[in-house]
Amino acid sequence: MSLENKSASYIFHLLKKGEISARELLKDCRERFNERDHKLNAFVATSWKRAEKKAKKIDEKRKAGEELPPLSGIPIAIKDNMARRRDTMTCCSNFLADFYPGYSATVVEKLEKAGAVIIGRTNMDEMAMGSTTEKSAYFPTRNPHDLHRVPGGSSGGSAAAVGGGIVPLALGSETGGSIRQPASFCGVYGLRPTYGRVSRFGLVAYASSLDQIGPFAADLDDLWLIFCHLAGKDERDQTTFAGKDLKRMGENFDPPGLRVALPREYLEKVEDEEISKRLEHVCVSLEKAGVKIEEVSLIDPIRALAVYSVIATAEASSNLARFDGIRFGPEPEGVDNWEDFIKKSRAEGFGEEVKNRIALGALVLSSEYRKDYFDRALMVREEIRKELEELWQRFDLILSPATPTPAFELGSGMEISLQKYMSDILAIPASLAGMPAISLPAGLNEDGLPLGLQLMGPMWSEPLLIDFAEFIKQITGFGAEVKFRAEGGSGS
Amino acid sequence: MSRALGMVVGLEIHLQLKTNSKMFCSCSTEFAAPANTNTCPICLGWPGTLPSLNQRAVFFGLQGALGLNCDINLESWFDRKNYFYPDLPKGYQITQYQKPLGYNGTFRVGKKDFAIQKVHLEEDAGKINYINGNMEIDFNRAGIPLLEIVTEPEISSPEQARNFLRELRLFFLYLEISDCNMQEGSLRCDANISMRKVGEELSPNQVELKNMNSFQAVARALEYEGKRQSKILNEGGLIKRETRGWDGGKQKTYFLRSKEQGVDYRYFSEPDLPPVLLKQEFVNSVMGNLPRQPVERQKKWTEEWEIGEEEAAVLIAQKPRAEYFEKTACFAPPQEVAKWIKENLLQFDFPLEIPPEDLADIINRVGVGELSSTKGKEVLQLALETRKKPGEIIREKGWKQVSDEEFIKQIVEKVLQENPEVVQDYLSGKEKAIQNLIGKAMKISEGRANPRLVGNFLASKLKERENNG
Repeated sequence: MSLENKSASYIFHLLKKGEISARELLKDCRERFNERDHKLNAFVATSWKRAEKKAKKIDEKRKAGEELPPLSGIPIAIKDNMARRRDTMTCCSNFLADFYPGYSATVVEKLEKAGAVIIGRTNMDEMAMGSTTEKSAYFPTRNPHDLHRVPGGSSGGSAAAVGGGIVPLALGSETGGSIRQPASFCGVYGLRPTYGRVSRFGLVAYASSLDQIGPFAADLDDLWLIFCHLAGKDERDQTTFAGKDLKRMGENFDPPGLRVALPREYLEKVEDEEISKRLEHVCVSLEKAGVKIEEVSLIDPIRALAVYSVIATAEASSNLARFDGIRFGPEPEGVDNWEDFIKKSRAEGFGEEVKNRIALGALVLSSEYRKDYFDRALMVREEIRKELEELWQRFDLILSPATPTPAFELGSGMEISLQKYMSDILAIPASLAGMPAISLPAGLNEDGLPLGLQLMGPMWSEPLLIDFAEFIKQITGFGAEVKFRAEGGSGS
Repeated sequence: MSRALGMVVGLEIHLQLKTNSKMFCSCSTEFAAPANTNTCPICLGWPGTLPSLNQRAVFFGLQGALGLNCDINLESWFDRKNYFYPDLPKGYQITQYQKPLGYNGTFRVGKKDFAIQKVHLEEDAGKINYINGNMEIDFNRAGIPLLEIVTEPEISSPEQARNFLRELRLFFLYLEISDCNMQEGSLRCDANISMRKVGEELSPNQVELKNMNSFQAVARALEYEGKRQSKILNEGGLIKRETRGWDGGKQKTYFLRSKEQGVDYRYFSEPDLPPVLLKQEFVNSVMGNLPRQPVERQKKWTEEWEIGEEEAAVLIAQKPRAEYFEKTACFAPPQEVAKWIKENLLQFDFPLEIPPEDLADIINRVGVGELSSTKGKEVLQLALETRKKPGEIIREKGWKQVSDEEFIKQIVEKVLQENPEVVQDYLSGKEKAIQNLIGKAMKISEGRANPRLVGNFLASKLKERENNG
């Protein structure tokens, strides 16, 4: 029995009833991996042996009649920037080619405790800096809907692994839009939780005040399930909070009372007509169902993007300073003083994109430029946050497209680097404000490429986001598009 | 022609706080552990790790800031100071730059109040050792909590700097938040010094002095540097902004690095830690429970208890000694206690092995003449060795001082009989000879005779002979 397109909740149900074993589940997953990943390149490392052991243990537990936690036997992929004991962690950078952290990220511990079977580590842009997964030190990952296109990034490997049907669930991380944008490109759900909802301990930092871990799923109940297991205050990350209750409305959910804002400035950023049409279609359906939708005006996301690029690179320049080759990383030869040692180690270990961002970040923090760039960026960030806070007085949610375009072609040169840069633009405001947002599939276009929408909500509103996404799915029929098109799409 | 130039000095003092664990992880802060054994992924700055603030360090820091009469920022936070150095694991130091824990403080030395600019928390870096020409880094120290105290540039001489540091060290030893051991590096001091003409505007601190491992070294370095700078200025030269080290062997400062192009630390607030929020009530309660300061104690001793300045200085030098003194002084006259401690007990570690009331008991017995002071000291010695009560020792030894007149009379007669030549000395005008006779009498009585009575009795007997002769 192939379990592709089956939800994790359903798989767990079968497992509990004894209709399938964890080992069979893993075998099924591995078959799909073998069939597809050599084309997708979603994974940079696998841990089948450990997964086997874990699956065996779960089967034994089941046989012994022990209670099984709700992710038992579910194959899961994690992004290569999350630490896991007895595993590598490279962040897809040469710098960490030989790095064994020896500790596990809090989220990894939580997933393992919940019974999840981690099968491997997924590809990403080096140090999570990029929007295509082409900046990986290994190889680019491909979009399961069209192998000539990018899966988005930086969590492109995780998005492709779920969108390509290899695993039902995967973890990604976001600084700007590194979960929502690839989720949208690959036709799956991607959730950015409220800042502080999920522990960052064990996640290699890009920009600490923006980084969040979040899940990819093909099914909203699965997304909710894994999210509930990730969330919670962590002693090892003092920026975490318990937040509001993790409780979905379920049958009491009453969409007609909801007020949804449609920000004009976000809609204007859309370059693909089909995406606009899809949004209109969804809006019409929602209004028919009694939801109040109103166009509003918000700070132009182009400003948010500018602010983001200042703050994220500034923090990155500091976060990545620990990569000096002294305690880990490439040890350069032929140097006779520590300054050159550090310089050479960094020069050899980091790729161009990472170097560019560190340089930009150091510049905007320097005494000469900080007032005009970093300090101003902090002010605008606060303005954006306040504007959204005020909006929540009148609205429950913001609906917008997820990205201005669907997935673009691999290997695009400089001429469309701006397009790559802009592909995150609609995701950025929520990131800066620390508010949760979800990207949801809205069907495919004529070329078979997924289109995506985004819902943003106030702090701690993840339950509402998922309830409402479920509602949209019910009234429009748009759900995850899990596919593997081995021959590529129209781009070929 | 040389002109008189005044010295302007500001000090930056770093204290390692006496927490059991480091500032942002649970590693031990033990001194002199084998290299790199007190380390973990957090204090080594491995990717993915995050700091967790040690609340004890904040508490100690708050005590320090309050003790220095600082205003307290109820909301302070940490910043990152970014620079590369092999001993700095994360490539930045977590410190308080924009909002220190305390500011606007004062510290009194003698009759002068010195202004404290700020008191803030930060983490220590590792330590570089050069072994056979190789750089070896020990990260045991990395992440130990530090309290940095920055004074205003109000110190005007090497002597003042040394006194300030001595008093400040004593102050922190009494707070018990730091070991304040310069040799072990738990107290470190840098000095900013510049010279100016009297009455001239304050120039920015020109030269920073480092590597001074004693207060004496700080004073010497300032003195040397003052002369060096004066000479340059008097010859029409300019002082370069630079950091200089102190070479204790050559007794000279030497160039370390230029400050002309200041390092840009690219400070920004630490996003991995929430702000440090303090409630006013909490601050008040810490303030209310601060241990009494050495200056206060000394004042009470000299003014109320009439202890001499010199004795007071000896007693205050160590907190356990001072506390033992104060406790003992509850049971015996403070002046006597002070004298006893100064004369007999400085070689011991305080608190003594015997309870303060026992020491007081011995002092009181000597005071009322029940014991001679010589025997008193012996009792003390035995009490320390055997931990017996003084009363029990005296009873066992039969050392109770005898003031019985008949007993003393007999002894005096015996002494006079056996020492005719000493008596003759006395009678011929050597008044000191009486001391000799008293000593002999005490010896015969095995120290039990009351020496005052012996003296009186001897004097009257000798007077008799004088008159008769």
